[in-house]
Amino acid sequence: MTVTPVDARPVRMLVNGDEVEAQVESRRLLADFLREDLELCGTHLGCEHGVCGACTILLDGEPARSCLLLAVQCDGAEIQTVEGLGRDGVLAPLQEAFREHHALQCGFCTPGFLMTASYVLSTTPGVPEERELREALAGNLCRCTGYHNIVDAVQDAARRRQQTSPQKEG
Amino acid sequence: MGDLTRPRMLHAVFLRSPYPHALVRGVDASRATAMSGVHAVLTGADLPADFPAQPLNHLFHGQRETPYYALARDRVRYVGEPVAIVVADSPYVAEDAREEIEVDWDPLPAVASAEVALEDGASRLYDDWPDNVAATFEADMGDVDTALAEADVVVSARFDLQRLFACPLEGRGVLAEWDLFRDELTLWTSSQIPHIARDFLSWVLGLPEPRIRVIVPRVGGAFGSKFHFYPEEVAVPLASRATGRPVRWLEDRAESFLATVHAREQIIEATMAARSDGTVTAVSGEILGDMGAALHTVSYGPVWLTSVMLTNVYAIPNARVRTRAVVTNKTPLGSYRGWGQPQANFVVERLIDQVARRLDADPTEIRRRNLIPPDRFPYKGLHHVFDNGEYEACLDRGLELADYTGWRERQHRFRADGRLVGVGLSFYVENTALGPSRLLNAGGVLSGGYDIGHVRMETNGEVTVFTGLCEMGQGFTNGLAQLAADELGVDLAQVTVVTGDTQTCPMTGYGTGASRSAAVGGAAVMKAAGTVRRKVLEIASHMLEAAAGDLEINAGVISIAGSPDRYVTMADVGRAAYLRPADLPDGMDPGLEAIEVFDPPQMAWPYGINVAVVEVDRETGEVTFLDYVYVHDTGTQLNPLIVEGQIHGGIAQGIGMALYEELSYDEDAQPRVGTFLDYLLPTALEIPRPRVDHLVTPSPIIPGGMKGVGEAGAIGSPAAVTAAIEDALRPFGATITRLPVTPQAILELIASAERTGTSTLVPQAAR
Amino acid sequence: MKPAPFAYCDPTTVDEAVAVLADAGDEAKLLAGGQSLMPLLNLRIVRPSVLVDLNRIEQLSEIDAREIGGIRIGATVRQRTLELDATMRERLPLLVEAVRLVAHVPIRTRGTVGGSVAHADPAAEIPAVTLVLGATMHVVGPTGPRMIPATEFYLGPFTTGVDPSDLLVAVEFPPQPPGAGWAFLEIARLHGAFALVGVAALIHAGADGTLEDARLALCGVGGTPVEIEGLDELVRGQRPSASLIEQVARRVRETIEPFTDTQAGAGYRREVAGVLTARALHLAALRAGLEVAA
Repeated sequence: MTVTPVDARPVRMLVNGDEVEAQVESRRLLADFLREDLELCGTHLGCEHGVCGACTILLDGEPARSCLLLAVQCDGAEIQTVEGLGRDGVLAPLQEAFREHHALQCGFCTPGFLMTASYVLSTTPGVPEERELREALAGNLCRCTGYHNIVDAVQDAARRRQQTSPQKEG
Repeated sequence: MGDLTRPRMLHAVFLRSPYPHALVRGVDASRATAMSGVHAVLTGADLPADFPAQPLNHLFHGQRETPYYALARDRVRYVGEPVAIVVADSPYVAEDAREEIEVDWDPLPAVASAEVALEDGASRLYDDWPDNVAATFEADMGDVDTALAEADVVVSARFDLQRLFACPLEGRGVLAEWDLFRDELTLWTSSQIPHIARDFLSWVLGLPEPRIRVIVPRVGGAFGSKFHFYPEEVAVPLASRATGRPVRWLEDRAESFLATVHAREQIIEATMAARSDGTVTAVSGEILGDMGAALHTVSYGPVWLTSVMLTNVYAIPNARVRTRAVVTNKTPLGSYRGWGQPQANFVVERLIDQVARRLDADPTEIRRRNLIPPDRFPYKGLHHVFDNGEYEACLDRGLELADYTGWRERQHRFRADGRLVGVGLSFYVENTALGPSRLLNAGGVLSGGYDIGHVRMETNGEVTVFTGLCEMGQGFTNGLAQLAADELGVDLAQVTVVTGDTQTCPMTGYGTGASRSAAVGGAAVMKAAGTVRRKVLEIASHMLEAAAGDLEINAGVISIAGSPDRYVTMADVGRAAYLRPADLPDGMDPGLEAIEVFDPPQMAWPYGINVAVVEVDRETGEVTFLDYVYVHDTGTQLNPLIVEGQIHGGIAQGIGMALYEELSYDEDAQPRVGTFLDYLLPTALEIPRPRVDHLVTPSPIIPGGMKGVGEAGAIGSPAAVTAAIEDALRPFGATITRLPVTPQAILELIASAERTGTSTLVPQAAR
Repeated sequence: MKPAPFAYCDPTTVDEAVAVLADAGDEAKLLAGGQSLMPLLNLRIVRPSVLVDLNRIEQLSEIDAREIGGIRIGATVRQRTLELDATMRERLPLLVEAVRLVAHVPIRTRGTVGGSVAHADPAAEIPAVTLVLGATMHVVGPTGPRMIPATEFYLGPFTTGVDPSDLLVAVEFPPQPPGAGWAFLEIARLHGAFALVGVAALIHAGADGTLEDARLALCGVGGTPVEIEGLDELVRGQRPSASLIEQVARRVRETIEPFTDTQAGAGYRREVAGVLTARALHLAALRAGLEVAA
């Protein structure tokens, strides 16, 4: 096995359903690849050490910190970012719920919350109970809202999803 | 800021001092500059000899000068002070190059705290000073000494309030594009004060103001910490000028703990005197503000505000405050939600609780007895005149909503079961709608308190509102749009608010902060919208051949009252005003816009009560919230959802201050906190769901009646939470005067009480 | 906060990985989940010249849960995979309970069992569990495979028996006798933050309701996870009771030598270690179907 020196490596991945091919430096963080190379600025960097959660994306359907992933690790993977939640400029029901409940103020943490919440909704049947939901969201920091409008928005989105025919969130 | 790019943009990082105090003998960037992908490295040596120091916006009487520059010249005074800027093709390469810079440091002794800084023989930060005192302040009211001598009860305590910072989730950022051909600078920056920034940039860079454009994009939170003019805002433009390319710097998280202004740190020795009937007769305080290495933009303003708010909501006739703003070798101290009011509130509310304890009285009754009654307004405190307030009504509503008496009853049972449940409250009043220009200027502020609103109706009847205020998540643009829409009679969807661009937006006297955007900004917009409305009616009356007084506007349609089929639309009026001036009344100029100024005649004084209910785990010291109630009066609420959002966020930050956050330094003035592993921001599991209610007493002096609410939640919450914990620990006779209140501190208080036999609770065996 | 440059390789077999390590020695770092390593890279606290990404070595991501015999968990098995696996919940509930306390879900979807063990953060939960459950670490180096029992594995803060030229390939848990009682409890300043103190407790009782043995390991109270020795002498033949539990808690307080850091002092850690021990033993007893006398 030869170790390639510092240089660009080819990567191919699906990002929000689109095929992407690029050459990236090995040390380039997935977050920077998404933001700068693909110009998908929805994913935000709040700490670059995995605590704040603003950079959370879905990697092969599971939430992960894009600040703690190298782009090269995602060769062959399916990535979903916040840009992939809505469709043709129409907000996803979860995003609508955030808007209605004033669950964002500055909005910097919001993409991370949306990705985490979207995963919670797609893996939790019914309406998550508040304590359990707060635990699921505790990995995303918010400095503006004090959290409870966010909790309300996610519960509301779950309720609405229950009422309409089941559809994949985002 | 990280979303903004410009063609050919380069990326910058800063080399920052690893020493708290050192001489910079030389900087060798040759290896860095030689690296592939590196375009420039600038240091203090690249600044001309007469390059101005960073300007301040607040110049208090007697304050000393603490010059610091865009890049350190020959001396650094805190860990994190910027020494060099590295510009490269990417931040990755810039960080690589940064490591190649060699600095010849000559470390100097450092002072890590205000007390050490005041010791005889302490190492001095500024050689031409006799000591480390940057400024002093005194205020007196009545005769404190006599009141103390005659008092039945005197309580005293020393309060140690920690250093922390606003920590918005988005760090700071600057993108500078210096057009060398035209010698014009465009600066995108995450600032709350673009006009002040432009003013300062002109001064420092020697570029005329009209050739500087400052643009504030959407900002990911600020809370006051971006209400400052930073060295990076000068260094990045210099880098752009040096390279001839746009340059962007994004503050990373590790950097933010050093580079963004810190907040709150004070030591307050305070005393309160009272009569046996619970009337508080005097309060006095000696305040030490730990300013860090330099007075930054707002000088020691927050410490000054603590000083003058030391009577809080109470009619305390005698007061004295002696304040010293002290420099230390730490990051400079600056603005953060509430400014100095959380500290003043903490001191007064905790002392009142102590008075209540000494008199064996209920803390709510002592407060009730001392609240400024409605008939004493306008009331002059240590400095300010408070306008109006229904304090007692607010107290009652808060206690009712919190079921205060119910909790007190249940508390007996809890204690019998060995459970430590406590109820704490804090009543606050705060200063908003900053403020009358004459007052600000008299206080040494180089800004007015006015705001300018610019409202323009377009050719198609839509409305654009221009304001110099900036959006950072607080949502005031909604409020301004509502005000304009209401005043003009158009749908909200027809109104666009433009913010944060010095080229198109009018000057804001002070900036976005001090809870003034809705009140002062709103009033200015209302005024301008009113002027436009009058012209609209004049034009419409001409078109409809009716008296303006007979017209009404609804949803963008101007019709004759009682004859709805006779109307014109806003679009018709707009067209006449801009495209068919022939349709205008004789002598009327075309155009349909107005620029109006509102300078508040006074500041506004919203107030409220926090009631916190907590349970303390006797064995681990952990604190859980059982309830949190907040009742406040902030005048007219433009948008209740937004108002509540501000309250929730403020309470969360107050809880962070009470229980979690601290930027601690070691004895050598080295920061101990560098990541979120050590700087604890509370999560969704730590912050309770507050129950909020409000009274509405419109401000008598702000058109529209808004008072301002941005800071409120953060002001009384630290005291309420601390009071609740102290109340829970009442069987141990604990007094809490230091923040944050950690589980360890709680166990130590309990252990100490048990050792000294002051505990009245029988220790429980481990369950 | 961007990593310093490194040469990257993503071998697909253990042998390839070992060959790279043989060349690069301590200039190389192994990337598994990255949840501990990436922050260190981003902060430039570590700056390997070679980064060996283990995530493409399929063999390392397998769980081998044998009918008889123990469970062998490949080094790159995700913590999240473990916590959702029904067999793991049934056969290694103590491990699952501990894993659930590691940070938050987005960390656990990448973080690995092996990575946590090899990183050996003094505050980490999984290492403490490996002590209590008597795990064995499977390591492969230039001279071939070897096994290190958990009791000999942790040498100091962030230091284990895995040499720079080695690779941890699996953590093997021996079969657990039925009817055990178990609990993992921790205290942290914030939910999901690093534990100040964590306690892993395992007890076995006989059919007559008396204890046969108790095993306890703590994290956050020393440079390595600390197993409390000699508890079986204390508890054997006795019925669980508050006073017996308190004796064990006292033994824990007397044994450990915790440290002070920015988050908590040694005294607090010592005190809380005792409290958590008592609570964990109580819970473990209940789970073993035992009553705890007052």
